[in-house]
Amino acid sequence: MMNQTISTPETEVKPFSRYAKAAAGLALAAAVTLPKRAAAVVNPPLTFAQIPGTGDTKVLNYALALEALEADLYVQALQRLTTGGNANSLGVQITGLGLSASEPDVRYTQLFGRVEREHRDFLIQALGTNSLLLSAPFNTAKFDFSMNNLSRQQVVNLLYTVENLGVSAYLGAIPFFVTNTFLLVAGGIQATEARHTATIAYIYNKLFAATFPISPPANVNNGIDPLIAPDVVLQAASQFIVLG
Amino acid sequence: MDSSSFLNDPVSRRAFMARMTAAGLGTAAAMLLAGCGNGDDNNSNVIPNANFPGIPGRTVTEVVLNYALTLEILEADLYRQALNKATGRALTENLAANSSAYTLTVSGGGLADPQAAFAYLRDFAFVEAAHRDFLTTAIQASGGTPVTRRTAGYKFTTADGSAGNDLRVILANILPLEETGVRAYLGAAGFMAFNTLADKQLVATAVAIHSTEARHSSIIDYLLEPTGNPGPEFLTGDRRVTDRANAENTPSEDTFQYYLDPPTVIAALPAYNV
Repeated sequence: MMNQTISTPETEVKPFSRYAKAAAGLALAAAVTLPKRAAAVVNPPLTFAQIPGTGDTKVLNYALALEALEADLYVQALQRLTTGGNANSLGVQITGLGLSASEPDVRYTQLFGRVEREHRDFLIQALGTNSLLLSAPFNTAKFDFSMNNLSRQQVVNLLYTVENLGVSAYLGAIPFFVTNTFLLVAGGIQATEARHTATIAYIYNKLFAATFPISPPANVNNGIDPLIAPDVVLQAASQFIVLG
Repeated sequence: MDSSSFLNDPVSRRAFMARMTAAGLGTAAAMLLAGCGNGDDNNSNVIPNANFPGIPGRTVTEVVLNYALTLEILEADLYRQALNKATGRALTENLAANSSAYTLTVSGGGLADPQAAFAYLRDFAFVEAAHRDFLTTAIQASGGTPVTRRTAGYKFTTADGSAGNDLRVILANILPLEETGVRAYLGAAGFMAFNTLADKQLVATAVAIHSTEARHSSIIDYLLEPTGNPGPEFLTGDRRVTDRANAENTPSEDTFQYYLDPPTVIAALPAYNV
């Protein structure tokens, strides 16, 4: 595919340092404290420099890393909310909370989870032999959300936080594209994540009497979704990633 | 068909939205569009007027920003009118300085959560005004001339042409506008210059506005139809991002957001003119 190299992180990431603040705000928006991750998670956190490939391929691999995480998060979340199971990347038995399929969080976890798997599979196919999921250490990566320790509220909170982060992650990745060849597809995925985020925010607010914003309010960044740079996103995502 | 069955029937609602997004555009025009600009010429110095008929700008990027501003002006104005309608004001009243000035006075029209629905209508009205002002300022800051509101104004019409005074009907009339906005940004971003870091940041900002419109579309869709699918939905005229075909996504209809070519959107705009 593309063989151009991207600019160094020093020159590219710096203009986005102000977005780190947005990411910090995002973590604070999570009203629920999540349990500590397993000790085996990747540490120090992954950086964009470690994502395989160059040019546009590197950006697509970054997107694939996030979609793989989201896809497995939805699998584990659905297991946790409903009847449990072990068909997840972590290979552990998740104990179900026994919620009915007609509950709104269950229904949309099922629906949006299928879409996230489709995003992941689309990127795997688009990348072919360049897929990061084929090369070490990512080929053996697992996702640990400590799902068995999460309450219903914490599960939905996590889905909201990760989808919301995904929206900003795609935006922060756009300047790393060398060409705009994949802009349309990236935008098509990004808006889909935005739609998911809005719906999950609403469901969360209704179920738990919370006030997560559906979209950025008019007085915050002109009512426009924030960009979050890849290294900031990967730092947040790394707490769920177990390599090798 | 009366308005309540229209609004409760997802099939006819879909047909209506398709009509709104492609208002006035026949099959022949759609076929014509299939053969024109697809974003590959974004780095040329020639302003692709064929892709943005009637939209001014000194560069392609500026034309795209004015195209986006044209839509935001319309959205902000129709939201202002929708909010006036939902709060018992004259449609001509300006947007209040503060959102707390507004209280719902019309019936929810059977919505399960009318207070939340009203709060979003109110908040999004201010968001669209912020988008409009942001784009106006951005174009001015780069030395360009932003497009402005039509002096004669815009029509806030109801789905079935009736007076439609309840909140459900008001939101159902706003939804096609938001859905068109999402598709318009996505279909236009590829025309913007993509060379320097500044170019790319501007493209990212345009895509960032696009995702807020996607959020609005999704939640309004959900409020109107709480057991439906608020993900991307294929409407007549839509193109899919994977191969630019005028067809539903694979493997599922809701896998990716759809987009519209700029001429399709521009052709639909006069329907809103007074």
